[in-house]
Amino acid sequence: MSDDDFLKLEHITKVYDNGIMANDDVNFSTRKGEIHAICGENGAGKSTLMKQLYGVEQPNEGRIIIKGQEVKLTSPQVAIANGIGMVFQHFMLVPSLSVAENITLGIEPTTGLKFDTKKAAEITKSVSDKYGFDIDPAARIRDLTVGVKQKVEILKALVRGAEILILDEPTAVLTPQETSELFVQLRALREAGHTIIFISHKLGEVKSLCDRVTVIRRGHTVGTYNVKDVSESDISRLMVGVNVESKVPKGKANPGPAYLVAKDLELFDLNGKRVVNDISFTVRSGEIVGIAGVEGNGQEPLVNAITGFSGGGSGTLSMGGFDIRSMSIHELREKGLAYIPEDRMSTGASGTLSICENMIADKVDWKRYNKGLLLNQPVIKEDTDKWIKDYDVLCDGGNQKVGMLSGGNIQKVLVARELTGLAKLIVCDQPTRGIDVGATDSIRRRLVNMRDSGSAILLISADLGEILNLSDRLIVLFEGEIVAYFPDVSKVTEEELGYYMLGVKRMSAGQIEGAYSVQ
Amino acid sequence: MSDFAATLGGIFSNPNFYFTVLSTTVPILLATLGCAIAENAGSTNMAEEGIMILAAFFGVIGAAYTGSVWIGLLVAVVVGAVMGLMIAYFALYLKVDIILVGIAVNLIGSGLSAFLMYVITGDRSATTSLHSGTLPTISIPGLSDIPFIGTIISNQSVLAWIAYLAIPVMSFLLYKTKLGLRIRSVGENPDAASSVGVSVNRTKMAALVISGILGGLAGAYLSMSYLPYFSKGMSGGRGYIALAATAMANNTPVGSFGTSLLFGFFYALSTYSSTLGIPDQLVTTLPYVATLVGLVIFAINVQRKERKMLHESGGGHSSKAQQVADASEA
Repeated sequence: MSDDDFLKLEHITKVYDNGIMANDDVNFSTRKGEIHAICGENGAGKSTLMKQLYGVEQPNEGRIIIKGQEVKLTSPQVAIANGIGMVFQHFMLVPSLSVAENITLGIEPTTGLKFDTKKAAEITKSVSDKYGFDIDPAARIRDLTVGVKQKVEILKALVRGAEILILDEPTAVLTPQETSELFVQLRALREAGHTIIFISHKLGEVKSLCDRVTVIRRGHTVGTYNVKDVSESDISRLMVGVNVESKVPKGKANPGPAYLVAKDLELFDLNGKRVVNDISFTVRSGEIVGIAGVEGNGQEPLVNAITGFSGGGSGTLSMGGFDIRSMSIHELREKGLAYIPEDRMSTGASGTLSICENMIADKVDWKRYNKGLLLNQPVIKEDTDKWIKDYDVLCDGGNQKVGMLSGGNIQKVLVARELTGLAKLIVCDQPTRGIDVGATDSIRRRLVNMRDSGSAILLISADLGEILNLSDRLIVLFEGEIVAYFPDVSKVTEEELGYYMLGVKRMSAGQIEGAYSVQ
Repeated sequence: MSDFAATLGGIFSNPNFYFTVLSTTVPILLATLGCAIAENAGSTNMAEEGIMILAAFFGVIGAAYTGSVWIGLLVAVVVGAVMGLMIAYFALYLKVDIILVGIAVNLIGSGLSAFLMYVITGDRSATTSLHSGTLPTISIPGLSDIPFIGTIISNQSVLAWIAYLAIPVMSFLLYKTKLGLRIRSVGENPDAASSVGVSVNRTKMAALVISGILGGLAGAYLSMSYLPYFSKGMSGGRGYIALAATAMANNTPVGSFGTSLLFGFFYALSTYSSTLGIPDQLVTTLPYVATLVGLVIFAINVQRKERKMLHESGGGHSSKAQQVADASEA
């Protein structure tokens, strides 16, 4: 048995019931004791492949071989019994139960009729000590931070004897500090002989953590490479098939007058707790202002206030000279507000409506799309077909339901809708979260184009690379306050940003004042 | 008005009233515990009403034809378990909406029991002619001699004792056993449970069968303890009241005891209506009005709790739709 035979997936083909071929003759193998990245765009078939490895889906063709033995992974239990564990993007934890209860769920220790709480805690303690995780077995899941919850998930797999650990985009939800802590633990697991399959969009992380990388494109394996032999742009080129610069090129901004003005703005949550504390900033036409910050530091209430989802608070908040809080969402839209929300499925688009219907949702009362009492279908079709082409939405046509599309394509539909409206002020909340490199690149370019044609853009993003690349000016929010302001983003590093985001450093009031620039 | 107060005072100082409270609470309590365990597993058991009436009917038939109330009780329990199993089969394996299954069972329950009663006994309202008998009552020697308290707890049906014992048993089951842990995890995050190999359907089915058994016991109590015969529509909406009581109790066994006691109290009060000089029809609506009031109080409490949680977690986690709704209210 050679090294490569530790886990082998041979000629895996998976066709879903709806006819979509997710994997077409995919080959993948991994060695004992390595961290192996799987990279590919959304919809490339990574998740499908991993679901088959974890027994959630069964391949139509092909073989899975573990340590030289062919296995049929018919359910997660069978996969677990074969030493495979998986940490999903959405945690599989029960919030009201304790860490120990979550970890031993399904393999509960009992004495007589009773669930043995003490034994469960011992099991948890012993395995967390063994791998150097510092975890309190009695803590309730709902009281834990995202980073700790992820550790619980990893422990859950280890307790069940996982030798192969699949991590699906584990760093998407972590702060830079939590990410580096996770990497330390993953390297320790590798030293202990575990094999880790690491799925990620973040090529920098792949580069720094992984030994080898397998690239999947449109259901096919492109190849497996030693990470030290390929650069980030090599990987992204292999993923999309064309060379994609990870940074979007953009010239100097040429800002006009302030379009969005927030002055001494204070916002409160439902309990009257102050969530945005006395902030002042502007977004001028023709510039992109970025807001960096760890989630939950006031971004959400701020976005909700600007987009008219919630009113209240004190101070000035105006758009193009109109008081935002005295206008309905409809009026805001008529005045040129565009909004790309964080959650594309619950706030952004309607999965059960067609692409056309979603695209004109903000424009239904435009004269152009109405003919008497009826909608002017031919014109709608003509326009949406053009947008589908312009924005490169991969679909069967405008009548396809949005819910059938992959995440990146749904986001493109959304972006197309928002940017084809008036779009004088564009509020983008995580515009490229969880979508593939190609779609990310095209959306970022669009935003830069919109800036150059005079839109005022407010960008909220957890992706520091994105925020540093796109923003002309940058604000850092911490606990509802502006703690840093950078008039020139080109000199800012991610590390420096991290200190402000975590509240370790803070600029003086004089430096922050610059965020409010009416010009 | 002072007459009214005096009568009310008379009722409240009479130990027999509290005896009635405890006995009217029994079927509500059993049904509430049944709803609670199903709810913990993430399945709303709407069907306690239907299960109760079918169990009450078949229990009486079983008792009458075998001459043994114990066999009648067994029949009632089996009917409950089978109904629970059936609901589970339809809802979990055939994927019918569980609320619709519940409504169907309730309609079948009231229709089928009335129809079969007519076929079997020729009577359209009650099975008094069958002389099916009642389950024995229990009085514990020392306890019955205690003044006041003795009157309240002595001579309660054996099923009443079972019902009150079911509270700690249910607590133990839910919070101390493997099955309970699985039931709660399946109810809270079925994906988490199934990802570690816990069968969601089988766990829910276990909870629904237990729920059915409790409904069966409630039915047996109605027709073999509370009254010595089956009468048409005798479940009287208790299954629905149980749903409200469960929600108010936040699905906990001990909470279920408290809320069903509340409804039991109003049921008991309505049976004393004639002495109050208030129109009968008005007083018999008391338990249902109490349900409505209870649900309103419950809803307000939930909202308050959510706000408190929001506060603790630093705010901003409610859904956008909720915020829009709140904003438009304001």
